Amino acid sequence: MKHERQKTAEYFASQPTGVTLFFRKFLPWQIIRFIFINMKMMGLIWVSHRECRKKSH
Amino acid sequence: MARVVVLGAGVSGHTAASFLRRWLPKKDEVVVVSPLATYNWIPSNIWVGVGRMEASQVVFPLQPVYDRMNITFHQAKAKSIHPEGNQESSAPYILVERTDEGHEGSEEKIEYDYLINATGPKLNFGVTEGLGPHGGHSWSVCTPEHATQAASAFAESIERMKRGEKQIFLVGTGHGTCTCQGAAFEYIVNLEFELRRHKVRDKADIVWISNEYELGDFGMGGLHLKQGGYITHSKVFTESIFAERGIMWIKRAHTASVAPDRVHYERLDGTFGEEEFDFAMLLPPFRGVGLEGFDKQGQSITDKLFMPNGFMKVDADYSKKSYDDWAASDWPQTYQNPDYDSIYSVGIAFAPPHAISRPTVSPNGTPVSPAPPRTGMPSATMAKVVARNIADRILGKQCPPHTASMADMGAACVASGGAGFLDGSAAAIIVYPIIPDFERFPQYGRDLKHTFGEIGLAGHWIKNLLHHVFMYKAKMKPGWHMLPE
Repeated sequence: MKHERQKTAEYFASQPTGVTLFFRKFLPWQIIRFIFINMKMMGLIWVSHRECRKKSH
Repeated sequence: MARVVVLGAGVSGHTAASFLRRWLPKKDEVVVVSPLATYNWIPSNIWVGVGRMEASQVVFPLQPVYDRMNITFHQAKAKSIHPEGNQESSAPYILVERTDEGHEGSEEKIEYDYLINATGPKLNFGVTEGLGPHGGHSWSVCTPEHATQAASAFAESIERMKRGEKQIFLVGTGHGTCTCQGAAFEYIVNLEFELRRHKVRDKADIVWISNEYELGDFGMGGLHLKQGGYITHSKVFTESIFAERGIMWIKRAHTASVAPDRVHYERLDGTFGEEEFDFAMLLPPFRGVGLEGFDKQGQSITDKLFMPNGFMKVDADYSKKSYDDWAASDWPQTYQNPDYDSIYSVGIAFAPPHAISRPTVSPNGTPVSPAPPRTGMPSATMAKVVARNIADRILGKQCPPHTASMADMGAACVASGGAGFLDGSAAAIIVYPIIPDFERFPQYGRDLKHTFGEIGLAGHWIKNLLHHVFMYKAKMKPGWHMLPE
């Protein structure tokens, strides 16, 4: 019976560890990530504009 | 004086109209034609669909905003485009049918110098028997009204579970050619989050059904991310999220019909299956809204303006070629119609030159693969560029056109995984470029320096922030134009 789970797709999927789950909700870390992700997004906007500008001129 | 007519007041149409108004002098007229009286920030509809927001929080009336900004608004549905005018006049015009109260059905002719087609899609529920909330057996979150109906049905299911009943929830795509898997993905994880919040998760089976070849495809072939010392496909992350939350999945499936208590589907391998449900939220496939085109003599030129799927032809390479032969450069740059240079098309309304995900067909001849997405951030970016080019032409600026190919731009997508300031989460995903370019990035088609993904509470804060920022921007409040697309 305990081998039944091995037939499911979920069995083969990666799952987060307790440490990963903890950091996903850990406020000080998430504040840092909030700033980091926003900076990544601004970087993306800058790269997109740069590439489109190159094509325009 | 020039008149620019914008068809549609969604993300792309509203963005184009806003910037045109900003860049053009007062003597030039900006006209918006939309069958709906309200603007809808569609990415937040999923929160309406699980009861975390009211529809009134994701919409606002357009007329007061347009009155304040000196934009002419017609609440009407565009029916046909006449780019050569008619036998009496060579001035191009469109024919619209009014939808505002008291004038429903009456037709009007609106002349234009420049036209932007940003109608968005027709929600093609009719293509799958029993699909959709209009006489069908499944719910949708495509509009605020649909999302409100879905929220009521969801609340009813929660009540049943509180009384001890078991419920099966089925979420995903309602046809083999659907796009917007991202919205369905957000909905299913939010639904799971809400069931936990209501302490009835143990009474629910949650099932995902999708036309994707692998989970995490999202109509763009998925994406690769650097994570934990590996370069990993988004399939791994999506499966992980589902496994972590106990969501079962069916992939490579074409939903053939929806009965009151089950869906019948065909798998990519040609076999058939069925899945029971108590509550189903299945997205429809999209097609063009059914606009027609006529020349000066009144002869149809619909096939000159539109592809057979109803989406408008623009400056893309539509030549027939195999999937392996397509290039990123096939994608449009200026969104200008090749035959009528005063017509542009942006957002979902333009015809993509090919699929991004590899097209697959079952042995029975049924296509089971996602159509390419072109919503959200890219649709606003292309709308702004089209507005810039039209403004430059009207102002007589001698400069090459600005471009916004989806093969040159990136997109940021924040997929909510549950709304809660301290216990929510979202997957923040950044992909560059949207269209994989295997000439510039031979291994994965994308720049792994800029392609990124992360799950956590910070993602939820960003999703929430984006809701307020983009509603503010759409209302054209002070400084709106400085907020990036």
